[in-house]
Amino acid sequence: MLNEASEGDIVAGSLAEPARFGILFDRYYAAIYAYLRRRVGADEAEDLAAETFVRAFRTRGRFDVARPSARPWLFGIATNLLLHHWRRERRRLQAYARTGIDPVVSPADEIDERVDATAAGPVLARALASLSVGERDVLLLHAWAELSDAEIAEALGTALGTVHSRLSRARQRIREALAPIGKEEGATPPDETRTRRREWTNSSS
Amino acid sequence: MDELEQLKTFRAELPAPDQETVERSRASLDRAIGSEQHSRRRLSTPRRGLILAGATIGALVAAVALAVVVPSLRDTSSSSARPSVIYGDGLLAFALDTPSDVVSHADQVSLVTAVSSTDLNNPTPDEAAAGEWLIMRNVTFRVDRTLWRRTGSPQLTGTTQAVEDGWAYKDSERTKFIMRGTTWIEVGSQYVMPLSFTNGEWAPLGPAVFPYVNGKSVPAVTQESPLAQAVAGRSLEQVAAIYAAAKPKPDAR
Repeated sequence: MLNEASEGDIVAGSLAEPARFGILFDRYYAAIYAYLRRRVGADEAEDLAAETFVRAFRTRGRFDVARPSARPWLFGIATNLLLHHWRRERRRLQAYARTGIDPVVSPADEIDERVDATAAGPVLARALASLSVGERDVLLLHAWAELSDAEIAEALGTALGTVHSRLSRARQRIREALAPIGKEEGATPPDETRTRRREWTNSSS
Repeated sequence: MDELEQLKTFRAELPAPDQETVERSRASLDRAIGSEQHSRRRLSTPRRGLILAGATIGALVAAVALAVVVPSLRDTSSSSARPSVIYGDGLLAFALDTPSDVVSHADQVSLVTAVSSTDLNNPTPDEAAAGEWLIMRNVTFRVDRTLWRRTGSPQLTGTTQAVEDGWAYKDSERTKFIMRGTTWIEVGSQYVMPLSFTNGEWAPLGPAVFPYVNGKSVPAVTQESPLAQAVAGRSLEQVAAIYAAAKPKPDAR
């Protein structure tokens, strides 16, 4: 569309016409929710996604309207809100690694096997749990929110060099964690994990 | 498949939000929008001039103001009549008049230095058409020393940013704009600053921020609260003792 308003313009316009902020909700709610959903589960994701947009609305006077996209800003707010949940996130990742059952997946999700398709799920969960909060934020903004390094720096209010170093360290940790199962045929999870996964599925269906 | 590709598949099959979830979240945003519109209507004409959005002034006086009224520069159209400072008035969501008020709402009180500042020159279309608007400033503060902390609260070290008062712009001229009851923030200067940690972000409690000059707390000319009187002329150790002795209000968070 010709002359479509930039998101900086939308935020600026919302200072005079607050209802215009709803445009950003329509554009980004699903993406913000999906990111939060993968990190902390459905219930908390709903609360945090709603709070992300309320908070963005209330602090929109701080947004640099010269920026063409509000996406990094919104993911930054969502990630800041996750700071209150980092211990719970880590506990759930550790539980997943230990049991092979992902606590953020609920029966209502109706996912085959109730866990993600990769056999490396528990290994990834353990590796993610071992990262620092800062490393995990950078890695998951990169891998799940698909922000560029510059956008991550913008989202987190940190230096680009810091993003590079955290991302490099985090990827190295994940790579090292995955290396042993990469050598196993088909990266198959341990028998115990498969069994528990099946039991969980049966008991909840 | 490298580690990033594997990570991208991790929990990738989780479902999108259902319609009810989206509607509940949208209702939260709509309530915030409606609340701001209500505040604007309620404060529409106590004084002629600009009424800033809640979002702007939320940062402006440390998330404690509900709405702000700024005297119009139309009243001072000739350069010779322009004041050197324009003061804005605001409504506060909670009182910051006493040391007890501060320890009821702050998470820490620190000596900070304003290390840098960037102008936020973003007039709305209406403001641009009217030819006058406010230019706020995004200021970076460095924490030099912490005088008081709420037990169990997170601790701010290093630096933090806040939107602070800036300039009223009209006819290509800038006039310093300050919320009445708060101090101007000057890059390179130090301040005794109560800060609140809310929703993962630190924010100064503006009316309780006082300049720190030559080893003493020195409130600005419009800072006349009992709190300002209590800390005026006090050393850091004395200010720390005042906050250490203050009791939070029973309904404090």
